[in-house]
Amino acid sequence: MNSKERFLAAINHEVPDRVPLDLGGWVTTISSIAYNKVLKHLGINRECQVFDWLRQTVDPEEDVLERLGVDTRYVHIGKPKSWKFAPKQTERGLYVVDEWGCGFVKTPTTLYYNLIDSPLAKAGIGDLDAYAWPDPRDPGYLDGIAERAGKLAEEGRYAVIGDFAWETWYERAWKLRGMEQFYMDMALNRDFIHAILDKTLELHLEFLDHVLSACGEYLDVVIQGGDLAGQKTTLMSPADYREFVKPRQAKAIEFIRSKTQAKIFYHTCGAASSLIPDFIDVGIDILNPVQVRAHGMDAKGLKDRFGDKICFWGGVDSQQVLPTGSPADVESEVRDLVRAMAPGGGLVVCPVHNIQADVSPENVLALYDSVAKWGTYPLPQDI
Amino acid sequence: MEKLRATIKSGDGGAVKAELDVLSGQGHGARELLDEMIESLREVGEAFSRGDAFIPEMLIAARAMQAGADHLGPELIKTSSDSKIGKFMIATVSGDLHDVGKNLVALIFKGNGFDVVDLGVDVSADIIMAAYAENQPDIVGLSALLTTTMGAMEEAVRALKAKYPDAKVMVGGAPVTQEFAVRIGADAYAPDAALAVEVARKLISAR
Repeated sequence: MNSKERFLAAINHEVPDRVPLDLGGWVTTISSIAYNKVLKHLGINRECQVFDWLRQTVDPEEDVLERLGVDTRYVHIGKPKSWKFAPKQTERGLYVVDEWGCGFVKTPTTLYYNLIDSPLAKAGIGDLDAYAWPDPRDPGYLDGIAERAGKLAEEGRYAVIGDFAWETWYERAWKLRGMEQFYMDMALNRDFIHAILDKTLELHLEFLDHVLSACGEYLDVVIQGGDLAGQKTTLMSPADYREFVKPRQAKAIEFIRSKTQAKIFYHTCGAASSLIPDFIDVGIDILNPVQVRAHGMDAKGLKDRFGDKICFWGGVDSQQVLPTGSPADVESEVRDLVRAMAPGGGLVVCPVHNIQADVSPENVLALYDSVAKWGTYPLPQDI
Repeated sequence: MEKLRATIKSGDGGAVKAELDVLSGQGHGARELLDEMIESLREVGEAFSRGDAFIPEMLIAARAMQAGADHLGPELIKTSSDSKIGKFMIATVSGDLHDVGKNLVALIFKGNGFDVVDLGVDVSADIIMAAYAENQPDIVGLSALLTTTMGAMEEAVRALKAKYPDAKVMVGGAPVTQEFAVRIGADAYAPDAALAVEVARKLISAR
């Protein structure tokens, strides 16, 4: 099997030759600091530049992806023409306003940019139409995507992943409003939440139409997301999720399905297990990142309850094992994950979220090499 | 008192104040009213810890509590019923700008009768130490959301304990665990804002 065949078998709940591997997406990639250590460790004399300014992560290069055995290849959107990343040095640190008008700062002590200014914090519903929304059909987004996706599809070697979350319609809304205000509005100003989510979803669907018209036919997966849970439980009640989020997830998925045959990948951090039946109901094919240390997210439980109806993508603990464990601990973690979730396919492995700056290159290699070692089907008897 | 408790849970600060005025007018003392509101907030907190209430419900109740406590403030001071359980100093550690969780903890502690000093986010160990000397809090709370800043949490705890062996430190945040708290020498850990108050009460009464 080649990578694409392996990947497609897994996400179709069939058994591939081995468990497929991922690295390089919006929230499944690696910090530039950690990546450059990996390069050094591999004896590669190169420094890689930051690709995602917000998270200070990279787009991993082909030789590293091959060394790690990664089965996915990403189609990223181009840079918008109407906005440029232009941080200014201020007394707080490096400050930048994004395409949506939100302000972010990276201080000397922080590893990435953090939201500090939310322009719609005090807005009323009546203010939303007049706001300076970004152009979802910015021509820059299309730069190279048809060529890249087309080439990948034609070569047929790797799974083609459309990296099209565009920071998600859900997260854009609370970043514009401010997280605290947004969650208070969810209780006290529900009309506002509907209005702002309607707006961000509308823009997101325009964006999806823009990019999927260019390359939808070539894609195996479309990336979507929006964090709905924390370490212990969901951020809002299941009832609020079903009122505010679920119908909009459904709308986005219906639209995506009208433009491509690709599977739908949904990212939510945290203890989201109470929402998984709804995710299945609304048509999500793949759940990411499977934050195994969050409450109710143990791999075996999830596989037993939902493994026949949804695929799992992620699963290697990044809260304890990757930053503070040894390579042997990482291998043990991978074994546990594969044992729990690999039977019958339906598993793509990568770390839970981006590999952070403090993860050693030895641990990065241990992760990917351990899947190759323990994740070949039929799975080892002693796994 | 049912109506007062309901106004806290509804998050309607205006309704809280109105009801407080009604009840004061009926002769209820400020301290009694404050205690009723604290009890209402505690009920929401317990529901939050249990998984029956979520961020929106917890936030609005804490905010309504704040509005109510502020409204009673002058009367509490006048009647010397403004006694605080203790002083709580909180910070998000160096390298970490996340504050929603920390803010909720600060709000709930204030609502529960603590005097709260909030040092903000991205706070270095040096500043924590200086603030400890200046404020003399009964308890220090440290928050971290990022795994990459847990080292800064450890540094702050060890520095505090080295210079002020009697300092009581509690820690929290998504990647923080009981085990980590013990390893770095913290006195306590709490998995959420509501439980944090109970942990803090125990720490204070154990002194």
